[in-house]
Amino acid sequence: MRESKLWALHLFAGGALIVLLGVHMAVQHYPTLLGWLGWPQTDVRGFAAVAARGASSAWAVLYVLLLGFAVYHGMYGLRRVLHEVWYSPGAGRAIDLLVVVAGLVVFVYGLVVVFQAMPVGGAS
Amino acid sequence: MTMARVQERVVPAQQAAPGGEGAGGAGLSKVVLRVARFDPERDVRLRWQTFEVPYTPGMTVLDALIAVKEHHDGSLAFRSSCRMGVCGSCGMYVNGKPRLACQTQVSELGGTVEVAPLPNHDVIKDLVPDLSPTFERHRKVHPYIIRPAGDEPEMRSPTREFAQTPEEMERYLQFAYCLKCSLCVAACPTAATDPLFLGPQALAQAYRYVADSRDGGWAARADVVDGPHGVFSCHLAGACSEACPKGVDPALGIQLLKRTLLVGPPHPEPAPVIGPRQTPPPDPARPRPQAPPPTV
Repeated sequence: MRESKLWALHLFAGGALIVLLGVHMAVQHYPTLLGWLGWPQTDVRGFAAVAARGASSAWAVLYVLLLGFAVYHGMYGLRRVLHEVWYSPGAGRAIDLLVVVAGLVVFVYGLVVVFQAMPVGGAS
Repeated sequence: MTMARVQERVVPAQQAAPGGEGAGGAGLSKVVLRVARFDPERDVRLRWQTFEVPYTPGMTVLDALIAVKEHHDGSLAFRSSCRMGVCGSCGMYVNGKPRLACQTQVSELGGTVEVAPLPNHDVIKDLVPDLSPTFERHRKVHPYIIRPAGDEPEMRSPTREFAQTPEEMERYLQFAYCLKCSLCVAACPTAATDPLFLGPQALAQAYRYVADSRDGGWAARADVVDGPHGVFSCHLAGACSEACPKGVDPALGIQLLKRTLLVGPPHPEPAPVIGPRQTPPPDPARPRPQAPPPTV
């Protein structure tokens, strides 16, 4: 894939991260802010609330998207740094392969973490 | 021939005399020149030599170096040609900045001037940098008008004209002032860490031709600039634009090139050739004027 497409996706992932991470932070860490907007105040970090979010398909989708965009954004940044400090033509291919493999490992591990909170037999 | 990359950033011993840059040279009677020397036959790194030359009003750094060469040390090597900021030969690292020696007034630097070869370049001798990598990268981006395949005969032997409005010319005009002096490359932090980076000079020139309404060579240039060491390696430090002695803004060209990669060139199709030729074609019966034989 051409560098411009990878870069455009990097920018898009950055924008998406702001939105998705914003939702995560607002719900998990700044419920008072949501309260000002009329959102009902609950114990968002209590066991029941965490378990309910873990079993929710909507939250699973949000976290998979957050995971995917974060891994892509981070790995693309890492790749750019490595390309700049390790710059023989052969090294370029090795860096790309290393970054793809590392990104896939992190992504799959993240998927396991997201979906192991789901109840057996499917999401609610 | 042995060449050496100047590894260390040269830190000027004294940025300026009391009064600082722009002091106007009032009261200046002599200039202390601290010059980096490098002999590929015996040196492994730069060594420094100090000279004193009498100050004359209007003296440039190049004038001071010429005075050193004429009166102190004839072995001092540096490049120069036009002495008026047009040829781009005398790029040097003067008091911590890449500058053209012929355009840098000694009076603006105070009494002490420190001169080193351009960073991010191998050194051939003393103040002479090896500019061939810059020229090779420049050639890579196809720095000429490329016409569609059917227009090749017209390009080789023009019979008509290309129409271009003043607005279309404005899109690329500032980039056409590039001297190929490589000061922008010397100032570039990315070029300092990534030797495969195309560099601000070549990238800005790629945009110069992409933005030209007569050009149809976007696909060929995109192949070159859209790589891991191409336009997206730029950190946008802006040092290239600050260093350019002709006021070209390579950082802007690089940003516009990124935009072009995402949304396409400013003109979808190259301008067609139009109208009859305004000047009469050469008369084959009349002999062409010949250049006089070279004197050197």
